[in-house]
Amino acid sequence: MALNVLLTILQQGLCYALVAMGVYISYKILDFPDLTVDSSFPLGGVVCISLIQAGCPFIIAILVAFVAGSAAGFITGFLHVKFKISNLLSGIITMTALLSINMACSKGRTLIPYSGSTTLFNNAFIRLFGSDIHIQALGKILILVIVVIIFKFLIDLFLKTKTGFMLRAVGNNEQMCTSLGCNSGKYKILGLVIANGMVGLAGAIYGQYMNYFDNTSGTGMVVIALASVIIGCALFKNLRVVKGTTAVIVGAIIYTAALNVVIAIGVPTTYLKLVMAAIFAIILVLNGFVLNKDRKVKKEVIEDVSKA
Amino acid sequence: MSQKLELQNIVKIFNKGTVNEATIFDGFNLSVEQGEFVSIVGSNGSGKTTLLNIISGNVPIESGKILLNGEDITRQKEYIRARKIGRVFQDPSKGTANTMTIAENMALAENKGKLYGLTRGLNKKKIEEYRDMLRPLNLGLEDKINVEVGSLSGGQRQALTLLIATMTPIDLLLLDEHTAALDPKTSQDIMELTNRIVKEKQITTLMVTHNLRFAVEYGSRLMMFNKGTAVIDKAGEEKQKLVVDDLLKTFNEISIECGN
Repeated sequence: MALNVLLTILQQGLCYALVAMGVYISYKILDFPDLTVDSSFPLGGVVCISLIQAGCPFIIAILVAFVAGSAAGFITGFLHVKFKISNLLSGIITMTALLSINMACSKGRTLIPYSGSTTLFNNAFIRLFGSDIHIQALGKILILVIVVIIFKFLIDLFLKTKTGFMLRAVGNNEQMCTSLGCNSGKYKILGLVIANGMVGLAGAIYGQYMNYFDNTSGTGMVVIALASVIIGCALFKNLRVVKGTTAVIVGAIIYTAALNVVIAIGVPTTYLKLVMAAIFAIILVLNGFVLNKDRKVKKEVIEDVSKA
Repeated sequence: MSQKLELQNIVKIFNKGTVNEATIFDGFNLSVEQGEFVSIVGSNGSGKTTLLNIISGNVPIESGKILLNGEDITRQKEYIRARKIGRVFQDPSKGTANTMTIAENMALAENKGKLYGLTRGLNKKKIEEYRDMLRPLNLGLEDKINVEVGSLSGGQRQALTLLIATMTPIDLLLLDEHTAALDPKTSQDIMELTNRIVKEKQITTLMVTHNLRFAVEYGSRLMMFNKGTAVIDKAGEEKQKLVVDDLLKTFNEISIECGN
């Protein structure tokens, strides 16, 4: 029982870590609370399953899911930058529009099973782990760890480039970007494109892990991702050696663990979203307390300095 | 000498077509010569900051023409103009990215006007160069090169902003009450630093300030604004003869006129 829960936590947590790394870019780096996520996640999933069932290799299907998510992010960014629609509303518009698109892509079906297609989690490599379900789970975790690490390093590398620097500057101080002769709108769009690309990719991988596509799998994904980002960043706030991406991966696993533990102690799954929201609220309240404490300390320091 | 900056017939109306309509500039003209350091004083609402916003492209104008280096920049977007214009704001947090380190901020600034591509953002070999640039500020920033800018004091950040704004060759430097948020001592230090940088690099500069003493002591030309016109505009020897009391007298006269 406990072993099962632990294995589920790691597998789900690593899938959510991919979403969280995307949302880390939009929310933490760009300071853009992006609601597109709830729909770009299943968009990635449906694109991936459609391609795989049409005979496309799963790796290519996953990459196309990234592109599909990026396109969703582009629309949100474009609405926000070109038409000056607020960040929340731009996200809501794209998210709602995509509900229809996702439904159209899945031809009206809420669930589509993978039914034996070769996927990231159903291939010759996984079969090396034998038929025992727990040992197979270890294989899946191994694959997920590799995928998460690859994208973590890619994002870390990107954030160290000149473009990455500028992205960080835009989220921090838009005027600085303008002063340096760059169009801040372009960088915002770029950030959302990468962020939702990651979300689409996560949706594709999550679907393959579940072995079916679920059109409702995106509901609450924003909360999962934001909670992961906030937990991770709060935990490692004072440790500059730990990169933001590492922090949100840990955050995602912790949040998934909290959810699964609550379900494991007997709360009916009907209340899963309620639990999700409640834990998120608790995290925000705790995080707020920590921040306030910090502010008080800072204020005291400033007063001390001005007295001296 | 050549005209570095020219404003021709600038008209700026705020809230046009509403009951709050306010004409700030109505046919305003200004030319600034290469290397001039213009101090601009005036009461609130006299159009000083609006002038800087118009030049930087932050605020659109109704009509008129803006020439920088002879090139018409009236239709250029703010971020395009910024490639040739440096700007320092009153708020020290506006000039730097506070979650990035000093070195990262400097690396960003050094690339101004060039493509921000996928090459490495911070070249480790450059760090020594950055340290050498920070040393003359005498603020010990050279030892904090890997410290996030957000943890620096207002004065340190403003000094860094000045350095960043003038790191690449620019045609024009706009200073928008850039010492106003600092304590008197720091304010004086930053003013000295400004003067040194502007003289060293011979940058054409417009400085808006509420500090009449700074306006008198520094710069090669002084303008006092009232209701969108320059009531005082003195350069060269005439400017040297100006004392704070003269300015204060005119300032008071204007204020009485305005009913303050």
